[in-house]
Amino acid sequence: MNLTLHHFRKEFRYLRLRWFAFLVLLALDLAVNLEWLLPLRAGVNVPGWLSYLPTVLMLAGMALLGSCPEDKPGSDRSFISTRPLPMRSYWLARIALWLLLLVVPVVLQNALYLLLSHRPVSEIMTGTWDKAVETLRVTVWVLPMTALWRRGEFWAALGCLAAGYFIADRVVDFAALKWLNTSLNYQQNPVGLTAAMLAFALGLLWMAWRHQAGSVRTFRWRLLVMLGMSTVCLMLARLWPWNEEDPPQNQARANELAPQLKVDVDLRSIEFSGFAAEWQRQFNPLIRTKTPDPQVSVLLRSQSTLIVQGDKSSHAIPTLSRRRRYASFQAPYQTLMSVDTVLRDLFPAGTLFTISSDRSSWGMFTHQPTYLCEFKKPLPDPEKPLRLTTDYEIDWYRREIALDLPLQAGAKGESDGTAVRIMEVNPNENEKGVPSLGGLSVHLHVSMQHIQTGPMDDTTLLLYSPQRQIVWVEPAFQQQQPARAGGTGWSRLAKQLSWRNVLNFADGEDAKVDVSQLRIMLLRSRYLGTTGWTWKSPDIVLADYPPRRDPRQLYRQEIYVGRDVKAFQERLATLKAPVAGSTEAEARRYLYDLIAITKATDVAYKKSALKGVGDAFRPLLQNHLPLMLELPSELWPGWSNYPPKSLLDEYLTEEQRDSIIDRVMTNTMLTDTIIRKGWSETARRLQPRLLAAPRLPYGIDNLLLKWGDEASLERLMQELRCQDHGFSHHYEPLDKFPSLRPRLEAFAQEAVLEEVPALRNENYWVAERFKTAAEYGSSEALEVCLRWMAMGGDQPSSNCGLPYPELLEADGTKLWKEKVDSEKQWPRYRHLRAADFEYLPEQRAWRLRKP
Amino acid sequence: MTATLLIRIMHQFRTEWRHHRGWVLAWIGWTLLHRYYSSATDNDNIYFAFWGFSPLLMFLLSATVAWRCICADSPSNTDCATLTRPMGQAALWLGKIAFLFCGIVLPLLIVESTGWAGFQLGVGAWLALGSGLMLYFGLVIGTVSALTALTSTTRQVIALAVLGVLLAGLWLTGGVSMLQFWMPAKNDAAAEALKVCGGIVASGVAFLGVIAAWWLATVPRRRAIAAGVLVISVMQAPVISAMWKVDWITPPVLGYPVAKLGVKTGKADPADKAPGRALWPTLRITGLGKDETASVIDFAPIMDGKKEWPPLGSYSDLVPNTNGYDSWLHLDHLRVLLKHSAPTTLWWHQLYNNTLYNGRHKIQEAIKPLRLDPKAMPARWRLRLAVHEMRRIGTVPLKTLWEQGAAFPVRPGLRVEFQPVTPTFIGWETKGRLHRVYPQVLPAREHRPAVSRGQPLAEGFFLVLEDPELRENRAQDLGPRQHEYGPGRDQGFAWQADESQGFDFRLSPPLVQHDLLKTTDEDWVKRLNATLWHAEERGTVELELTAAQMEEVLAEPKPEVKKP
Repeated sequence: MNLTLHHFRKEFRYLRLRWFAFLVLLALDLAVNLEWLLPLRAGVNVPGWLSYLPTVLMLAGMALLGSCPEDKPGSDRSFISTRPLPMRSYWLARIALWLLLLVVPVVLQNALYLLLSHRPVSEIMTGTWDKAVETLRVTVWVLPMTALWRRGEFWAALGCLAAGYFIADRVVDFAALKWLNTSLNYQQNPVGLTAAMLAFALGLLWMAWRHQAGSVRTFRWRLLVMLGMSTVCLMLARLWPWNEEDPPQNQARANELAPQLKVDVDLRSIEFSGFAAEWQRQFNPLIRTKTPDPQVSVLLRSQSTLIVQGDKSSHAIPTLSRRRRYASFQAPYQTLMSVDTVLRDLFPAGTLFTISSDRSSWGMFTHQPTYLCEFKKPLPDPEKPLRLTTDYEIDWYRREIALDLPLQAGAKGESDGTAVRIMEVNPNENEKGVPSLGGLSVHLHVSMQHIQTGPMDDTTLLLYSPQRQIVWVEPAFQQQQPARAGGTGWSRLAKQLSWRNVLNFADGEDAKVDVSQLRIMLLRSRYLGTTGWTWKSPDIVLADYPPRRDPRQLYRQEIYVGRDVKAFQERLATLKAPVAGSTEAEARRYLYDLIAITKATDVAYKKSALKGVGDAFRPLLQNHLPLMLELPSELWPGWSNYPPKSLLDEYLTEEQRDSIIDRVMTNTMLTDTIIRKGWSETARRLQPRLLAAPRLPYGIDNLLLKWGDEASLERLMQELRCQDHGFSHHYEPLDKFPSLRPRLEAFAQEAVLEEVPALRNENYWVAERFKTAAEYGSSEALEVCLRWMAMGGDQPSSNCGLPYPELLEADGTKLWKEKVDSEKQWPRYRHLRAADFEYLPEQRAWRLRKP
Repeated sequence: MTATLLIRIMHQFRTEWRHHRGWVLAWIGWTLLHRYYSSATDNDNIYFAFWGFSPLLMFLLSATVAWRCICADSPSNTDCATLTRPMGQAALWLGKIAFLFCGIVLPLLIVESTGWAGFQLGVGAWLALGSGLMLYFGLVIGTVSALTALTSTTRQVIALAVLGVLLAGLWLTGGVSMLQFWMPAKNDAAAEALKVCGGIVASGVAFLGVIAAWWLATVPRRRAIAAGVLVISVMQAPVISAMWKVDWITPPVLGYPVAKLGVKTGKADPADKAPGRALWPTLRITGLGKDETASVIDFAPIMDGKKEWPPLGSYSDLVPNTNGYDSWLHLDHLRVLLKHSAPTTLWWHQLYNNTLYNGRHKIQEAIKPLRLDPKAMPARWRLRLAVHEMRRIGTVPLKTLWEQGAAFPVRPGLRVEFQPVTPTFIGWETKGRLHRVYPQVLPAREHRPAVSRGQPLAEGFFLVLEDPELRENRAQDLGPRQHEYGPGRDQGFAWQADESQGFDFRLSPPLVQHDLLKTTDEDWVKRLNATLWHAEERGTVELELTAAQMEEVLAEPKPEVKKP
């Protein structure tokens, strides 16, 4: 009888009970995966023990790799060593057992699952192959392991292996954090992992072979060798150099588009405020990119920067976490959640974008400042020019609407490896099942081709209302149950999403939305590939880019609303005003106390309190004027032509003129004082500096307007082009120069082309641009403004801006009433359309046609 | 058998110790490691990656020791030496129980109990925590021991274990599915609590069953009966768990005494000495304690003929926070704190719930979503309030908190922990957590928190940094992260809850102070005190308003006529 077959049969007889049990477990797993048992249902949680099923299955599979106690070749006293069984036959039998009892049933079960899930042949083949590789990877090393050790040694070796793996793993992570300042990705590359496990299995096989060939070594020696091998293999898996988690899907297209990519590094956006803190040493200019394909967007990753100043040069290498591309988190987050023109252009023109929560609103930047480099010691001289040469890697993403489903129970669709079925739609309900006016809660059944069980890496779900022309980029709540059938090639999960104020506005008004007209969309961001690019900067003097807003600020405190003046007066009464003989410390203390209470109560904007505020500041201006002139612009409270700012006019004399003019470059609050004092012509000596400055100090623009010459006006026109901050208030004064009108009109219309009407944090300048475009006659911009204002009470965050274009009643009075609560006015805009207005070019306003 | 039972038990105990001391020492090592990881306060990903294996490893290690211990003298193995030794099966059984208790349960109990200190837990809670732990591991050890005692070889153990897992899995799957079909369980907190109670009872019954099965298999050596008892013990679990109807772990709702409160409507009379606390200028609540404040859970009319209240569009101060934080405290809570400092103290504040800019809507705006017909206003309105008292938990010098961190016990089972302050990318930060440790077999707290929009109100805290020299206070909401958005660690097991809800408390250096007063961060830290305040719930209460009262509440303020 064939000895291989003989040994196979002997071992099979020993293992058959385990094998039958294993088959039953496989059948149970298949039934659960196919949802014949415990199907995924809306609002019903999957039993927790189900998550242990794959582990139990794996352990049961491992148990099949045992063998008869007397046939363990690891022991020289085993029965097998006395039998005339060639090693070749032994190993062939063991391999046959491994393949037939373990690998084949697992792979067949997987194929059967995919077949019964109605997957196409190509997916069945891929999923089956992946499963075969995974099974091989997980189990192959156990085979030589059982041949290497005696019965008792096996478990000791296994324990040491697990402990060794854990310790080595920690050491690798610690080393990466300590010396590379980065954390290694825990999602290991399947190819790297497979290679490492195969290498480990081969090493063990070699050891087992040597051991059985007679060169018997001690237990400790073998253990040490095995642990050494496992450590090397672990390193191989963790630091796999070809760690391409997400292979490019169309590198040729990325290469084709790369030469036509336009990248504009806007140096005017940088702000330099010293090198004291870590964040201040980073150089993050705004980078605008334009790809030739409107559906393709890019992300830039700085790889290294050469910094040259004078004859000194240094290389700044970003941390690994900044240099590398992450398929699982960072890149999809940036490419999916950021609302940019690519996403805008997937929807009809004028569509508004919003979210149901402000959790991620900080991530919804249209143009993100991009990390370029970090200055390290020895730090460059901020007063001297330096040059940067940065090598970038550019990741190309193609964004598309992969699925577009009506929001109705039972609606389903599938696109390229992701299938979505709507299980339940609950209008006017929140995620807890509690009635919630205008809310919407949806239960989805999602199936994915990905082998992983994690969240959908390259897709996100959007809600779109064609009736309201709004896209909700992120729900207020989302929760998904643990995926089942992970690792099969077609995993399934149940997901719940809910949004607020979809069917009604926040104030309860019906938004006239038919639920069946809503669309749920699957947005996909497909990674095309990566190309390289090098940026060479002009000469940069860091000191020329001071921060626009001084970080030394104090803000109004809501707690004082309604009792602001009283609180101001009570606190003021406890302060001791400085006299001429007061020490500087006393004057400083009074100044601080006064500024703090004035800012906290905001009384400098209360006309009834202005006299009191002026009186409180007067002793300082009278007796400690130099101290007041040191006060940063941002800390001066109140309007420019009211106390305390206007009091400066009284105390500044002609002798101080030149020093005041010198100060205005850094303390722009003095601009209006200079103008009021009639020193603007004397201040013209600053004009060359201002015209040459890469960016105008914020607040100094009034001086240029006052000069009104061609060069000054041209400089202000340039400032209008700044994307990340606004000088939109210049439109009005510049518009008074008729020669500039056509250019201003063109500027205003151009400015909105690159903007997205997104209701997000800190979007004031976007709102301003739509407002300006509307005021220069764009009815499309006006339409957007009207719908945006209609959502005044539905803004996801209090830091969202609103556009307020100049709108007039039919009788010419202003539509927006200054003294009426905003909440009472917003609803009116819900019923207005651009067609209801006529444009008045001379007033740059829109007037209602009918009262 | 001349030796007494106790001596024989001790003898068996010593035998077990000699044979399995390596495993017991490994187990003790593991429990120490487990405790070390439980008490770690970093937010390390490695920690989380490792943590998933913890319950499984805990289970496997204890099960392995039990299996090895019983397997060595399996009563079903007729070759077993103990059958011929003058030992006696009862002594053998008791000796093994004593060994497994002292080798497995006791070390774990001692090590784990170090984590229960510092939470102001009473004797009852300590006993409940210990009982939970003992029940859980008693169940694991008992099941494995009974199973092993029923088999004569390792092979049989494995076969029976696999068979057991399969059958139990099938039973649990099929049984649960059938029970869910007959008795569909709601996916809410009440159903969850019933499930926990049912689970505890079922586990208790199962524990008694498996111990009985082990005894039957070992002492009288009745394998068939023992197997039957074991099967019944496992099978009863889903049935009892699903059918259990007594919930003793959900604490009662705390009602605020309605008689204490009154409602005043219309414009406040300046001569009124007790005008009450204003929810709106024309609606005030009287009778609230000095440090108490009321939040509107719901305010809506009672519609005739409709049982459900509140109706859609009802007003609430406490809508779910959508910015990822469990913050709901509003300015009224802060106003209470004002009374505890000198009247001219300057207050800065930071809340995480958007009330910073919005505040409570005006009454006309607040009821707008109800879309009522102004000509037919409802006759009755109901106001459901949650009353909280701001309670000072403790004060420490900021320097202490800065350098050493701090822990503030809030109530039995809950404390707030701050780690030392560290510099971050944008300033200073102390990471901390609301740390809850309590036995799951008892109610987690004395009273159930108020519920608004289906969401129980989370714990609310202010940390107030007091500057006695400048007479300034800075109140900041701790802003604990909502469970699904933060690395909250729920690492309880064996019916001991150990939950952490993280927060990142940012301390912005007072740049303006430093600039104008020429001070430094060190001066500032040395000067300040940090006081933790807790919004302690005093109960919920419902008040009714008549149509006449609502008319006064909704009356638009008349413009004041200026004197000529």
